[in-house]
Amino acid sequence: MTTVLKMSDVNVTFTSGWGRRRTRSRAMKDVTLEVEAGRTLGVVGESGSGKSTTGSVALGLRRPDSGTVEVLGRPAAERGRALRGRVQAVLQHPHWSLNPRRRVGVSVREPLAVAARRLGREEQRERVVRILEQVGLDAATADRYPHELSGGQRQRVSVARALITEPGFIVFDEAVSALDVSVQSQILELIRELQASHTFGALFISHDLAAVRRVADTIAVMRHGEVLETAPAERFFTDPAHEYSRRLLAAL
Amino acid sequence: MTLVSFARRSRVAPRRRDGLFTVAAGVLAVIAATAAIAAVVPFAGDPDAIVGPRLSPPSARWPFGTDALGRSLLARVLEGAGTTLLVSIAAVTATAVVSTLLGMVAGYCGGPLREAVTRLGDVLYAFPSIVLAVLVAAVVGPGLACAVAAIVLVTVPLMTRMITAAAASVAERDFVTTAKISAVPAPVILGRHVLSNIGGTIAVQGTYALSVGILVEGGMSFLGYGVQPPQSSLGSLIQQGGAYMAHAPWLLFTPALVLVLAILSINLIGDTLRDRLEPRETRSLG
Repeated sequence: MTTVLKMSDVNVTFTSGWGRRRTRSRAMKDVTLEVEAGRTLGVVGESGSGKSTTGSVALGLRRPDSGTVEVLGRPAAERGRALRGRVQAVLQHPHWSLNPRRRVGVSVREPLAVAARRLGREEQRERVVRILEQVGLDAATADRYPHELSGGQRQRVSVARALITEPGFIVFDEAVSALDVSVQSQILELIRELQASHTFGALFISHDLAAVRRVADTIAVMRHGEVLETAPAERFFTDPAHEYSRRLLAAL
Repeated sequence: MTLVSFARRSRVAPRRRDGLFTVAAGVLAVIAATAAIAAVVPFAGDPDAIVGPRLSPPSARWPFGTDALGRSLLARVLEGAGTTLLVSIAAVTATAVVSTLLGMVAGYCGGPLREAVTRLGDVLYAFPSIVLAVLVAAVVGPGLACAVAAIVLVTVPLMTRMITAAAASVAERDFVTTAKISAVPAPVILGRHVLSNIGGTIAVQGTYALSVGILVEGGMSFLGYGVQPPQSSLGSLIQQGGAYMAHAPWLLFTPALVLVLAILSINLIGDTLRDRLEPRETRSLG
């Protein structure tokens, strides 16, 4: 089993203000996480626990103050060149995930146009249609604008856009949090199915333990920037080790 | 001279505003079209030719009367309106290009660059616009170029600030983040995702900048730094008419009325554009 994300002893500190009123808050404290190929690591925690920071560090969007981050065997900071198309993300807002002025098909094709430049237009279009069908949308969706779609459909489009380059690693940052429960469960089911067929490693970040339970193989609990517990899902939900995890479970 | 604020919010109901929009667009179209036609076919006569007695009141022969040299005021107002509109439009086009480039890059990059651009704009904004304009006149020398440069210098800080803010809010959206993750080059992101989503702001702010531009051109000409005689502009006509306000009020009020109508129309058009192109996101997610 290969490792797609390897994060060791990562620290991130935010500072704000100047002079005497300068405050520091540590968003990540010695965070160590691993994601295996074809598996999903669920990161749960309340607001401000550092889980979204973890996501942006894994994506190479934020440089950690210390510690190492390797994605698919390379430093995450190299994402621009070597990791082009190998890392993707599905983010929170279905409303803002797609450029409102561009047709859905064009948005889905964008990562492919960067990652596989040699591919002809026609072939790119075929790939777009194929991936849209895989996420349960018909080919005609490609010619629609985002405002013509529902929240669930838009999030399916986001998933299609993330998958089109056949990435080895995908970050889902609160990817279903803005959807209502029944749509949520459809999208989670879809992610599960696609993972089986496309074998990507996933970092699934959510404050919603019920959603994480549906997709994650391993669970990491974060609070105040620290990972309190990392455990295989079955064990976590039957026998959580940390006191805080037990409280989270009890609230479920 | 005080300037209309860029970011006014009108409280007129949308229905009535659509009616006002039609009226405003009509008034502006009539002013622009007659000025343009007069420039090609001088149907109102030569603006520089002395055609009759001095200071004769409006009559069938000279609909707006004649000025202190006996020139037809109608011909001069048409020429003046043309000059004013042309100078303002040229200047605001330049402003739009500069502000869009500067604001987009500053808003997208954020950090120290945005801070620098914003603070520089604040410094320029701190000076009353006419003081800035006079400063330009001192450097460039009076004339058409001076008027254009002054309008650009006055409108760039305002427009850049609005575009920076709009670009910064677009740059935070998820589709920009996913484009970054997909390693789409920054210039492509700017052109493809940011520019297409701030088009409304550019149109609206450009319209407001146009009305400010007309005002500044008027002020410049009024002070004698703008277009030079014998060419006329609305500002210079108002300035010349002021001397005869007691004997021949039409010399002052006719060009002033055209100026007011033009500015009012442009502002009303700007308000309507803003409501149509920049709807605030009131829809909930999903």
